[in-house]
Amino acid sequence: MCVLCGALKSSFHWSEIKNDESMCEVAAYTKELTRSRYLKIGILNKILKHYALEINAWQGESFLLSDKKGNMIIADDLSKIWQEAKKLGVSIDPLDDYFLRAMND
Amino acid sequence: MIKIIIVTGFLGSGKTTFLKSILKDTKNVGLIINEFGKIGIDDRLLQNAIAGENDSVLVDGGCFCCNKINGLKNSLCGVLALFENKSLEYVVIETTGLANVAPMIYTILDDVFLNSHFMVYKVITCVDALNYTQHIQNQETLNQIFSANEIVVTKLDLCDSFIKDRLPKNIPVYFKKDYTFDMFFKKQNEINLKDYKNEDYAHQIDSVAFEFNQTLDWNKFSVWLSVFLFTHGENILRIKGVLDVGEEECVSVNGVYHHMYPCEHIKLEQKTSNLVIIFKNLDKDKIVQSFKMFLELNENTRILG
Repeated sequence: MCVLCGALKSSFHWSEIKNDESMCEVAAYTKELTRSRYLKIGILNKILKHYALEINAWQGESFLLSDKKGNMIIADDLSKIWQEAKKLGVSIDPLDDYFLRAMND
Repeated sequence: MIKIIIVTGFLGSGKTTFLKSILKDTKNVGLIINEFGKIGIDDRLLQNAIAGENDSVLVDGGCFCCNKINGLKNSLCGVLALFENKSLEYVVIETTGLANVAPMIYTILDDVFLNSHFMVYKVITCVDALNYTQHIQNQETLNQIFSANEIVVTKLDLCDSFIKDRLPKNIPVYFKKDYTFDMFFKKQNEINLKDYKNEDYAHQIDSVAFEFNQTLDWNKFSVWLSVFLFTHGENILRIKGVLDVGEEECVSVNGVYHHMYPCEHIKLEQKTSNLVIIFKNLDKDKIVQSFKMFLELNENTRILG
């Protein structure tokens, strides 16, 4: 839960769910989850820089997406990032030539 | 967790008859029928029309497969209430003949209450042997077939020559007469990943299969797949794979349209990664290029199909 706004995390993204008993060891899993989220941020920023966007961690459980104009938007999970990017006027298509060229750089 | 078994199939494909024969002596199974018909199972019967227009709520940025079905949630809550203090292991949902299972899966996976009580165990699609050739022309039938974990062929007794080869070879196919009670409640082997072959079911549908020995970076994979599903989810009929992510166990991924089931860890003797994507109206070469480039796969990656 976010201590400032009281937002509850209502669901986990499919990439964060482990369908086994280790889910029960909350402390261990949270640590793993946080690490994985920071690794994802690194990967995401490599893509997003080509679209003049940047992503950061927010409250340890969400993402903060921002553009060069100073717009900022919170994305709860990985799939929401693309949705929020669209709201900032950026559509990212992994099959288009721009994306493929950008990844090749 | 209560396991949900979704039984789907085109109009008149024998879903109700199939369920009647399988479930006639069962107890502690909740049943939700997505039609106005009634069949009695141990007096625990729920009648609900879950895909009614008034019952659907369009969620933000959604498409047709992201409509949350409120009726389904109410029905599932109703089943929980009916079985309070009794054991309930399975809930069987029979869909309408025109239903797409993706919104149902989405409703269950996305709802905090539902996803803590229920899991989508498997999807069984009934295929009518008599009218298969006509049914396959419909987009609804194609969606239902590719969302399936198992296909059950019905009405074989009315049909002189049904050719099994016309069904997708990569999804397990059973004849109704051979399909037993135990099979219904057991998870069978799903899409054949090892010897995946591309098939020509319908001209707009295509598939691609990757096979590689390299350890996959799970974070990279989930970033790529999430953007791929967000942008092209409506055209992705099915994703299925077993991936070596450098852990002791392999990760099994499974998705329908925009929606991924929670991943499972499975122990395999030989750690080879396989991924199959079945899609329509997309450029296969671009998918291969994007996936290989983003995941930095080496030259030894085999592209099948």
